[in-house]
Amino acid sequence: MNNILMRCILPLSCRISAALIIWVTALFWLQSVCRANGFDFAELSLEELKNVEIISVSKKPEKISEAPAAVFVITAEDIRRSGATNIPEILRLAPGMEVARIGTNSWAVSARGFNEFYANKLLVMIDGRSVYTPIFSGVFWDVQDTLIADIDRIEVIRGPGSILWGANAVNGVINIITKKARETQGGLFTAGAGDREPGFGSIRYGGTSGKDACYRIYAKYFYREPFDTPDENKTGKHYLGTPAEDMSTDNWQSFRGGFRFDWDPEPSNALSFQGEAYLNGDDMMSEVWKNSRGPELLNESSEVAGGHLLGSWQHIISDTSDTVLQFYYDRTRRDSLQAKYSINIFDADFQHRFVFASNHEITYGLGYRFISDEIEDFYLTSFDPNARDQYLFSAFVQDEIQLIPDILRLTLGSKFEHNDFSGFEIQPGIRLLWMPHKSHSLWAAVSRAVRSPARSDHDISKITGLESSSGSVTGEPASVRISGTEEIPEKTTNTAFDTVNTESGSDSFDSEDVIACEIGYRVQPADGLWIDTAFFYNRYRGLESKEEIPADAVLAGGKWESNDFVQTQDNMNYFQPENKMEGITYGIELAADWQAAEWCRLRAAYSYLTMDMSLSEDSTDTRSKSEIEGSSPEHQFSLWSSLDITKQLEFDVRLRYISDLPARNTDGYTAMDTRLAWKPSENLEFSIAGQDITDSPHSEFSDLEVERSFYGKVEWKF
Amino acid sequence: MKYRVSGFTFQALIFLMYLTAGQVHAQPTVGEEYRVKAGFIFNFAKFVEWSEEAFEDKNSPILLCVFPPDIFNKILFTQNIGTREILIKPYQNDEDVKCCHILFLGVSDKDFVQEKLNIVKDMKNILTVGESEDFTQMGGIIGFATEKERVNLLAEKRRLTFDINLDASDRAGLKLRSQLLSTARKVEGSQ
Repeated sequence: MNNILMRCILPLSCRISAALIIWVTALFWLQSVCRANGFDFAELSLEELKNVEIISVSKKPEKISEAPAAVFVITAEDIRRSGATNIPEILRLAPGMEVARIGTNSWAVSARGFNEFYANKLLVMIDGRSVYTPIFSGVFWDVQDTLIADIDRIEVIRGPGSILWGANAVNGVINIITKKARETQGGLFTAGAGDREPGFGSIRYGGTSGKDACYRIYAKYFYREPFDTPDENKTGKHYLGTPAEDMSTDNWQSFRGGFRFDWDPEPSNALSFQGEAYLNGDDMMSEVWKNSRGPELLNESSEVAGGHLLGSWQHIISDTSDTVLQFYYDRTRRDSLQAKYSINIFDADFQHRFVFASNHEITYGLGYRFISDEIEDFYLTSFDPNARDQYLFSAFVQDEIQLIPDILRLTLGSKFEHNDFSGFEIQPGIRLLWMPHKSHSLWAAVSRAVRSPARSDHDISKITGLESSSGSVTGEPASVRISGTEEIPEKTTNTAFDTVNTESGSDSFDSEDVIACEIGYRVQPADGLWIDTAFFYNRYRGLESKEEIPADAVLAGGKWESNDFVQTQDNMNYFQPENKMEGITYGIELAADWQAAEWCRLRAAYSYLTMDMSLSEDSTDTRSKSEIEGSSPEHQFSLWSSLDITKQLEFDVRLRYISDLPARNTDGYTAMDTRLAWKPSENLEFSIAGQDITDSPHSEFSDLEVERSFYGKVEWKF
Repeated sequence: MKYRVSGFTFQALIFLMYLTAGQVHAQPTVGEEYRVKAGFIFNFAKFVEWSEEAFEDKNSPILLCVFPPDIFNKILFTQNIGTREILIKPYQNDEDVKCCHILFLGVSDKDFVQEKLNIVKDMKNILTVGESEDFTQMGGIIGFATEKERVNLLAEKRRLTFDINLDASDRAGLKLRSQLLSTARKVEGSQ
């Protein structure tokens, strides 16, 4: 005992007290160096001041508060204070967003319902580049990333945004906008570590090149631990279909680097050029059925690599007229159990905005996209044809009419689009904004939007499930689910499956569409208090259902004949997507933002959602209705308190409640995230963040149990 | 071994802190509108020459009268201009104007602004700064203007710039230095 005291505890306490003394001295010294709250802009020169972006006291960008849509902006400051380390977690900050973690590197993200692994009714753009995958219709969140500190804002638009952004913006649009190179001058170094994230770091440097040009270059790396160690004895988690893996055993590492170059040769012309390349990898553990005799444990390292180049030219013709021309090329190669493909996208967009007859602001645009893919056969899934080129043509026109200047504004417009699968699509919309008073605005909108068929709806053929009938060895009838949530029954080595469910794409599957009616009201009842409400009523038609079809009607299923596994089966069930479901959803979204004092900001949000799907009489689908209805939470509530305890010390607590998802077998849960940051100077910040710190691990969308985690981080500007 | 490493990191961290704290503070790229405007006004004062009779002595402060009275409530200038401090004086009644060196009218109501400009029209040594439309055409000396930069259809960024009316500054007996004139967006009047 004594020995321990002498050898360990005493020296340790000496060390600790010495350390404490150094820290405390450093703290006091630094505090004296740092100035009063708020930067004194008198220290800047006139030239520097002209470059400072100004915000009004209410901290709401004016244009947004006048938008006749349910728009929410997540600012760079919100992102920094949230402590979130990836884009899906950041999206939790927006009221009404449904974000549920499926695995280490996968999330289900949607708005206003229809959440799933490939949530296909939410369009996501990063700097004007669509990251919605045209193969599965949805977003692979594992590769959507950038330097978090360089994100300027994330605009979250709930409801159709199809006039401006086109197809698939059915229930919402996420617009991620990064900072201009001028705003990221100098160096930024961040590094951190935590129990789930043993190491992450990034470095960025921004400089000028000549008088009118700025650039930045950056690199980022992270490694994340799996939620669970692979356990060979763990049974009952055998997924089939997509994703075919045990989500909790993935680790995840990522490396990415990029640049941005902005050149403003004259005030009327701004050119921007950016590019990024990334490499992501994870080691997955999954049990797959290679034959009807039972599962096999498979370890696979997946690799996803890609990158993009984007150029844009903004030209200001006059005070009332400007144009934007943008090109991008985007490439992804994915080699994982979820999918194996490479895809190249080339996109060109032109937009012109001008004022006409003083009260009309007209915007029109033209777009062209070329998509070329090559898909390898992967586990029990193949595409026919393997390679396909798709062309997408689009045009839109929108007129914003000041009926009564600054009081009543009408926005009319439509998008016209042609795609190779469903042909010509028209997506019109009408929006009205009434601002009877500076602090009140009321808006209403009716719009139509479509989700166009993806490559998988058209060309896929895959085995989606195995069934053992009552006569089989296990003697227990059971079914296997398509999208990877329902489990195959407990593994017994003798299990034999005698029925195979296959799914194939269909040429006749058409677009899903929605007519959305929305009403919103924003009010600023007092200084520093904002309340935003939105009510929506959506009517969907032609929603995807999985219909059983007779064997001789299978079009894309010819491939199976070469598959030994399938050939040995007696019973085959064939399914195809058809548009035999309709649905109604309605809900309300409330958000309040209160700057209670200069050092205290409170934000709350609540959203309510009801979904009612109905299948047409001749539909044989027994699954889609309950799956869709039960995969989005009815109630979501969140509370966020941001405190500046002292001038250098920030403390944030975020609380969120999500109600249960019957189709995913998850209970309602309350999770809490916290962050404590110390800024000894403008250039340096230390922070500790705790995520999901309430005691019990909880499931959000899958069997994966999200556990408490912590990390520490240092951010240094130089 | 492990201890040595962590001890080293620890000391390196402390060293880093000392190093960075001494450095020039990173420039904020975003600011609350009236904090930034106050920064501009401080810079204006640096480049304006008042005649000697405007001050009692070498050390007497520059009085900055502001309307609305609470608009610069949170602002405190931490620096002096030469030997002079800048003191913020809330504008309570028209009598206050007489002793002001700078009058800032942070309102957009043109009639109101014209009324206040008329009061100081014949007074010397008052630098008028405003933000209403056509402030310089109405006889003000320096008028703030907002430059909008489009982010996308939903958002734009705002930055500040300013116009100068030299005829008005001549009438007030003020001399504006070239640093001020060269950064202005527009300079009206002759010199």
